[in-house]
Amino acid sequence: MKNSLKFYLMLSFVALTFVYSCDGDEEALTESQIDTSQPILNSLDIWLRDNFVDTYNIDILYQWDIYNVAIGRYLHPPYLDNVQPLAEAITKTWIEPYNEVGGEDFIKNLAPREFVFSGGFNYNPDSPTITLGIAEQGARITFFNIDELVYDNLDYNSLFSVVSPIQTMHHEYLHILNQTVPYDPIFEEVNPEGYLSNWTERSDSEAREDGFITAYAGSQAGEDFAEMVSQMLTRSNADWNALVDSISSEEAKENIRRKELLVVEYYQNSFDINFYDLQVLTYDALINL
Amino acid sequence: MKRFFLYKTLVLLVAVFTMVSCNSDDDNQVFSELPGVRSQISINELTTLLLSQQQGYEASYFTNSNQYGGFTVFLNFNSDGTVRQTSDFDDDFDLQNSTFEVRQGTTTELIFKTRNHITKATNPTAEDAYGDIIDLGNGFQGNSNFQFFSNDNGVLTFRDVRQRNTASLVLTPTNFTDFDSESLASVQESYENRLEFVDSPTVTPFPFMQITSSNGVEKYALNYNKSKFFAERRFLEEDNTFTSSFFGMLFTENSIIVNPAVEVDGELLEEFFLDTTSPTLQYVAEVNGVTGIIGYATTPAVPLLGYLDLPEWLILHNPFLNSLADDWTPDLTSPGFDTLIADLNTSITMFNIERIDFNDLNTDSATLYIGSSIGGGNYNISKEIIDDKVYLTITGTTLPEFFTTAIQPLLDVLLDPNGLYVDQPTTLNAFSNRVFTFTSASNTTITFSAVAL
Repeated sequence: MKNSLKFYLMLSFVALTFVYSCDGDEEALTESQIDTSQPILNSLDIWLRDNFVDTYNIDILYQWDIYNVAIGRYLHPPYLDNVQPLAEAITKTWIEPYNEVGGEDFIKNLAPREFVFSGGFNYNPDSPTITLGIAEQGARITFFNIDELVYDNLDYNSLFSVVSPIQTMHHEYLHILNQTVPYDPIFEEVNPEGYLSNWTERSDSEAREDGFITAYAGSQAGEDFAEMVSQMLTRSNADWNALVDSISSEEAKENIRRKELLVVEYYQNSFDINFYDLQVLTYDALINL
Repeated sequence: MKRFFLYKTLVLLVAVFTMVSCNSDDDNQVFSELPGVRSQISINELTTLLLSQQQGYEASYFTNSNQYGGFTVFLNFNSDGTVRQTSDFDDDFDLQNSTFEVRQGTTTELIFKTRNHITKATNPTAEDAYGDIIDLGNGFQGNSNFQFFSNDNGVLTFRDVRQRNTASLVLTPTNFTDFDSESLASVQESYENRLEFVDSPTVTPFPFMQITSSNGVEKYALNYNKSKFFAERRFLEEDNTFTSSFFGMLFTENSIIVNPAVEVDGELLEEFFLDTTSPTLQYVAEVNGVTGIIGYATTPAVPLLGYLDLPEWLILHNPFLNSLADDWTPDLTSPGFDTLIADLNTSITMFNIERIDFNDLNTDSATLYIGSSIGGGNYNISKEIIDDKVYLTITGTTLPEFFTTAIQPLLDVLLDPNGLYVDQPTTLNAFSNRVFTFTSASNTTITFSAVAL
């Protein structure tokens, strides 16, 4: 009994000690210190909010933040006037066609959540190349050079034509689709011997004769798949066939056709999308920009 | 048993002290405000400063003082989040509005959010005043994010997030009465001053820097890069080798600001003012008995030693080589020499001068070859070096007299009886061929360049 009394006394003492030790002098809660005031919005901000954020849950970051791009690169923000034209082009050539063939919420459900618009070219250090766009973890696509774009010139070889960012869009979006549903690994077995780490030393026409639709496609299989998609979705089916038929090497032609088939199967099996229907829509949108 | 009780009591006491010790008075406040409040105060403080100047700020922006000079941007901040700008970066002076933001990052930051004059320095394909790309991929190595560093009586200093120690953006209130008109007039004048530092009639082939202090007079050869607004000053050591140091230059309406400042005897020479009394273009700084001059002299500030290593074969004027590429010897042959050749070819009816070579200038007995549309020939010449100048004299020729008479104005320059200053400043573009310059001592506005083969 004595022991029991001792135990309870000790327990009470410890409990009291805990109570007092926790008796901090915390201040009463006051109003939040977080600034929730609405930022200043210009007419472009309101247009983007209405047409991208509210509609597709996609934000277009055109206002500069060095941490949105590689900090070591010398890049600059775009002119305000050049933002909306590219945003509209993206809507017409990417969002609307995919939604039409994949369902009205296709892009809303499966899309990057942020686009970053950068005004100038993104030169790669110690390399004769520039980066046209970057896809990051399926969440963000960055476009460069939007200040120099020409919208009435569909020149497939010009970095200044609007074809270039639209191809970049399709290319990077394919990477995002691949992050959701990987492509069939058999694609990598079509002509694996042709991939080059120094892909810049091969021209587009030389790459086609080696069975790659562009020089960059010849860098690795993932880029090859994305380049197939971007090149097909920015051409009519007739133009696409003419491009492939212009290749002299029968083996190269056959390899590209095999890759085309795998791309078409990928869209059909993974997303129930008829790729050729999509091609009609994206190309029509492009030539009507 | 007693000992056991003692241990238990001891353990209990230790436990109690441990627990009570947790009830420390750790609410000593280092800051009087909560972090969120402090952050907002900093943002408000800088925003208020920026908006406080109704007539805006004059910003001196050095993007990287290790490689580039600076330029001026006029900034007028508005409460709607826009900033009105003009600059002397290039000849596009038009005032434009863009957006800015003040935010809290690692410190309070000023961000230029959309494109405008200040972002010209971040354009990787930015061109200089002569239409050449400054540095493909890097542009002028500028930035759009700046960290607020200090407020010194209203002069605001920012640093670049990327190049914290070599870049600076300093905002000084303009005190204008009409921001638009006065800022435009200012940038046009400072831009013209920058061009005139290269192209003015008072420019000679001998850019120099001179420092006068209690240690005496030190003269430096100046090598100014007109694309990067950047200068190298070279001092000739006793062993005929050069030591170099570098600084960026920013032209204002009446001065040159150098960064980093030139330190002499503990004094900093930072701003050099245009000396309107000098017959040649010169800017002067005076601080506590130390004087610095940046400009052009009528004779070389340091001896030009190109004559010490002349090659066996030099091609001066050759239409074929000139046709291989534009500017194959860029900037080194003066317009005066080109004009001389062009005028001669116009005035001489019988032939055109098509080629000029020096052979064996590495010896004392050389030849000067003049090629023309009716054939060419050699002049035998002797070479002497006196007071770091090269004197060339004709000793004989097989060419007919009428030919010599016709080209005499050219010979007067090539073989200037008052001597030639010879320098070897560079190599031929991407090749290893050395390029030499010859400047007529009688008329220093005439310089011709030649390539060693």
